[in-house]
Amino acid sequence: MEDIYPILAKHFLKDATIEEEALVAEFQRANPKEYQLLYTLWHSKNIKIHEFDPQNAWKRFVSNRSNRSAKVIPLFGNLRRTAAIAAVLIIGAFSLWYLAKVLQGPERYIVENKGNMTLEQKLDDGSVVWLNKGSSISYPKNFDGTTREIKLKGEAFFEVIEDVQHPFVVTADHSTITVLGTAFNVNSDKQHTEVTVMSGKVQVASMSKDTQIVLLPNQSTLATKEGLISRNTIDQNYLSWKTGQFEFRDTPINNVVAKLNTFYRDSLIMDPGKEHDCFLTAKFEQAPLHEVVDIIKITCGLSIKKYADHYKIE
Amino acid sequence: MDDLSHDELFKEIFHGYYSPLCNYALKIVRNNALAEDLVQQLFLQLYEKKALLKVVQPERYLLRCVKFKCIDFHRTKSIKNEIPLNGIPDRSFDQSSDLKEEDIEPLLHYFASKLPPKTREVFLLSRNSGMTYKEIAIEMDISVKTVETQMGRALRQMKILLKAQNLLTIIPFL
Repeated sequence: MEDIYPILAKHFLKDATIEEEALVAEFQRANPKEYQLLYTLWHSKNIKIHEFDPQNAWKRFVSNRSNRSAKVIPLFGNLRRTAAIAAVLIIGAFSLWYLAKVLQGPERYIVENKGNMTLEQKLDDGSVVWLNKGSSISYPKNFDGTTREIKLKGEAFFEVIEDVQHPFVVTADHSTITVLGTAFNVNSDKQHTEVTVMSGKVQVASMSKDTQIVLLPNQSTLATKEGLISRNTIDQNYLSWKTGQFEFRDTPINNVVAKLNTFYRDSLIMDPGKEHDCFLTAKFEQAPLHEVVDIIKITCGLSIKKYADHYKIE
Repeated sequence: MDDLSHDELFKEIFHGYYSPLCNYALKIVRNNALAEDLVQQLFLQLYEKKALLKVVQPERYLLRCVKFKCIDFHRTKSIKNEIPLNGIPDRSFDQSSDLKEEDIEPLLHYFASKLPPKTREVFLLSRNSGMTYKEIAIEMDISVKTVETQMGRALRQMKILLKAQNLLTIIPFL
C-alpha cells in the first residue's frame, strides 16, 4: 500500500493531485477520528521550540539526587532578582515593539489565487472562501475585533459560519457586505460589484452613496459608482465558475462562451472577426470540455478547431 | 530487575524526553526555569520509586505526570495567592480519549521538540512560515522530494504519538 502520510501532508497544504485527493478521501472515510485529530494538530500555528539541554539537566539531576531529599534546588526562585531587572528592560523593549506594531496596523494574511483552479481557503472562524482565478482576499491574522473583516478583489463565494456577536464584513470595490452567517457570491471589478445570495440574509451597502439593501436567497444587487441597482432575476449561472454546472436558455453564443470560460480556464476562443447568430439552450454538469464543444458544434452548426490547449470557434 | 538496568533505562529516558517534556510544561506554566524545575522534580520522584520500570506506556505516563505536576503547581500557588489561576483548567486527569482544546498546544510542542532535527526543521518551516515545499527546498538546500518525505515522516510521527496517547481508540457504545 502506498504511504498515506506524505500524501496527507500535501493534502493539508492543499497541494495534492486529484488522484491523491481520492486516496485521502478513502483514508478519511476509514479513519475519521485520526484524520480529524491530525487536521487539528497540523493546523495549529506558532510553534516555538525551546532547546532544553539534557546534558546540563542530567548533571543537575545527579547532584539533586545525591542530596537524597528528592527536592529540586529551584532555578525559578534564584532567578527572580535577575528577572526583575530583566523585566524592566523587556518591558521597555516591548513598549517600543508594540508602538511600532500599532503604527503598522494589524498583521494580515493575503491569499491570491494565481493558479487556474478555484482556490478553497478556510478562515480561522471556520468560514470558507472559494476564490476564483485571479482573485484575492486579505484578512487579519486573528479575527479579534468586533467584526470579521475581509477585503476582496475579484470574485469569491463565501460560506460564513454564524456568529451573531461578530458580523462578517466583506469590502469590495463598490460595496460593503455585512452578514451574520450565510452563503453568497461576490463578483467585483473596477466597474461594478455584484452580490448574489444563496442562503441566509445579506446586507449590502454602497461605497459611494448612502444607500443599503438587504438581500434574501436568490436575490442579487449590482453596486456601481452610482449606487445600488437591485435585480429581480438572478443569473442562473452565477456560481458556475465554482460548480461547473451551467444552464442556458436561448442564451446568445457569445454569452455562453464567456460563461463557460469562467470554469473551463479560458479554453474557448471566439474568432472576433465573425458574428454568430446562435442561441443555445442546454444544461451541462461538469461535462468534459470536448462534449460541450460537440454540442455547440452540432446545435449552432459552427466549425470549431482543436488546438493544444484551447478550442477556436470560427 | 537490578539497579543497574534501572539506572540505564532511566538515564536513556531522561535524555530522550527531557527537552520535549520541558517544552510541554512550558506551554502550561509559561516559564522556562519553572518548566525545568517541574520536570526535574518529576524525574526525581520517578527515580526514587523506580516507577518507570512498571509502566507499560512510558510516554503516555510521562506526559500525564508532567501535566499533573503543572496543574498541581498552579493549584498550590493559587492558594498562596502568588499566581492567579486564570485560564488554567482544573479538570484534565480523566481517562477520556478526546484531545482537549487546552492540550493541543502543549502536545504539539512536545511533538515538535521530539522530532529528529532535520524533520523538525522542515516541519517548523512549513507550519510557521507557510512556505511551499519548493521554497523550503531552496531555503534548506535539499530536494523537494526530501521535503515531501520529511513532512510525511512528521505526520506519521504525529499519528504514532496520538496512538500512544490512546487518542485514536474509538470507545464503542455499549
